[in-house]
Amino acid sequence: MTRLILHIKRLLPLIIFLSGPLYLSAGESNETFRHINLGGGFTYHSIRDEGISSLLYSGRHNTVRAGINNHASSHLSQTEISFSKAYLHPSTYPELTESSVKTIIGKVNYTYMREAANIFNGHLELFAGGSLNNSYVYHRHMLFHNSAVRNSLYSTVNLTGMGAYDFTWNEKDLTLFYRMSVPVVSFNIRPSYAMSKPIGYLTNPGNGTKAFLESVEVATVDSFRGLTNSICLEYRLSSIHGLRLEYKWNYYEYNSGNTVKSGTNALLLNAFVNF
Amino acid sequence: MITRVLIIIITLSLTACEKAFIEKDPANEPVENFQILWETIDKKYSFFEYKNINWDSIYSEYRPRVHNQMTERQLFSVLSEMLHHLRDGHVNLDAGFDISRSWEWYKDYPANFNYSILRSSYLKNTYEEKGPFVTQVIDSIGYIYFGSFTKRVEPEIIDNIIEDFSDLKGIVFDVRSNGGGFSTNVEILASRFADKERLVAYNLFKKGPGHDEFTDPQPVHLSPKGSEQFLKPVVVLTNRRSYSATNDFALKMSALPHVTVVGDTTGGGGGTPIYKELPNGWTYRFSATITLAPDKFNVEHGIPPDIQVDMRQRDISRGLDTILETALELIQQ
Repeated sequence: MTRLILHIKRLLPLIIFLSGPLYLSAGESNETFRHINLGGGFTYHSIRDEGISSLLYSGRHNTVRAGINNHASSHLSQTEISFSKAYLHPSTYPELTESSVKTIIGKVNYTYMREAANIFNGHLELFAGGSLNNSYVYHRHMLFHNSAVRNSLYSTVNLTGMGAYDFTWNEKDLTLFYRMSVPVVSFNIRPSYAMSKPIGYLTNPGNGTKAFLESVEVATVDSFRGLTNSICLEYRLSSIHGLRLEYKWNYYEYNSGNTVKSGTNALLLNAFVNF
Repeated sequence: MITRVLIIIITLSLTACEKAFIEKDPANEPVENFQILWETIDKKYSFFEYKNINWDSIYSEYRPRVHNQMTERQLFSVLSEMLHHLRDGHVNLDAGFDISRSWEWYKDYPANFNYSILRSSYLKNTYEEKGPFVTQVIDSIGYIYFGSFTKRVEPEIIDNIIEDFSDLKGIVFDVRSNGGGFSTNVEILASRFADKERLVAYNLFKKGPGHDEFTDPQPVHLSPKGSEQFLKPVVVLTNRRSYSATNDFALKMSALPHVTVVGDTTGGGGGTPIYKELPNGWTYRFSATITLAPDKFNVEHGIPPDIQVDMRQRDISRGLDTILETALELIQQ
């Protein structure tokens, strides 16, 4: 029985990974405002993953992003998918181009927030809620051979807060959003201490399910700390179209055998259409 | 009002600076480079206990010899000398202008292989080249020479050879002086000689920084693969320069009942090497796993053959390969 509970606990990341899009369709009946968005931009990434190297790697990602938002009178929900790719170089000798790390990051994020306060004559709305963030990170060190390819999966449950401020500037209606998100618990799969495969895949090479389950590490703020900060300016082109310019900062560090510290600064432009 | 909101947002955004959390790289100075090399090896090298190496005392010996005024070549010399204590062919330091190596695994041993004799007395002008393999038929016995595991083995090619040799009395698989390469080739080749699923090795993986922090031995099984398996007598020829992936091949083949290993003890190299780098851009590699035979024998220092044979000088002068002759005789019997 204990073993079964342990397995259910370890399956949670998969459940969480799949639950976001399902929840979105469940919440559609209450929306008063719904739109899809599509866009992209650049992300500057710095990472030191002791599993790969003791050196700091950094570089610029090209990022694309798509999402669906529901905004009802009392709550909002948002599902977002983003994908970015870059070649990162060691900060100490960026001219040595062959010593690069090919990095691909895929993210699926689901956020649900309820309105907590409405102040300044309705100009400023404050929201509070939570989000589920699933990140897949691929690294390949182009100079190395064995253990050069590393895959990581981070599923985090976050506390999220947001403020939305409506204002007019030069006779244009604009909204300024600020959002902050802090992970409280995460379910992670990382390469093992010295090899590129997660530990479960080394100890159960013939059983994929068991390997996956035994590779999941549950982490709280003791070992997994992070913060996502974003400022977004929304400009409505018409009643159904608009543009969003966003600056987003994300940082996390994870201490599990090999410490990884990663920070990204993204500048993204999104177009959205109501439907 | 808007001013107040903007001030709050800008203040919050000022937290968006990962440089406050991610430390700068260590300085590119000899002392820092030494320290990182020593510490990484200390945490991740896999044979300290097996080789009875006191890495702390090596630190005490070498740390005083490193100072920030020394030249790159002086630093390379000290670091190479330190790494030499690991007595491991999988340990290298690549500085661009030089690479440190350990040759002990074959240096003072007989060569036990002479390609000129092989070429003139056995391959002659009638051999075939199939992918990375050189093949010949000698007295109704198939002969395969595989000189380097660094060449990718296409499964179709080895299947084709097995099919061509299926009517012969046996196969001599010669991996002498094969210094290793892609370990993925090992399973492709050995599985063509497997009669059923068998335990062929154990692997131990580092799971923490302690010198003895490993997983339990993880069994490695070999199963038959390919269109056809060769289950008649097979002799694998090895010498001291059969290293790394070749050592692994000899280990897995020796677990099969119809396979005999003939020649000299292999060179070893049982740990999978991983790669790292220093702040000055030098790269290095070292063993990070342990491989054991099914009887838990540690194969880091080589696998003894079933039949020990050295090349005799009298045979060499007559253009004969003593080890290959022994293998052919064994299969004929």
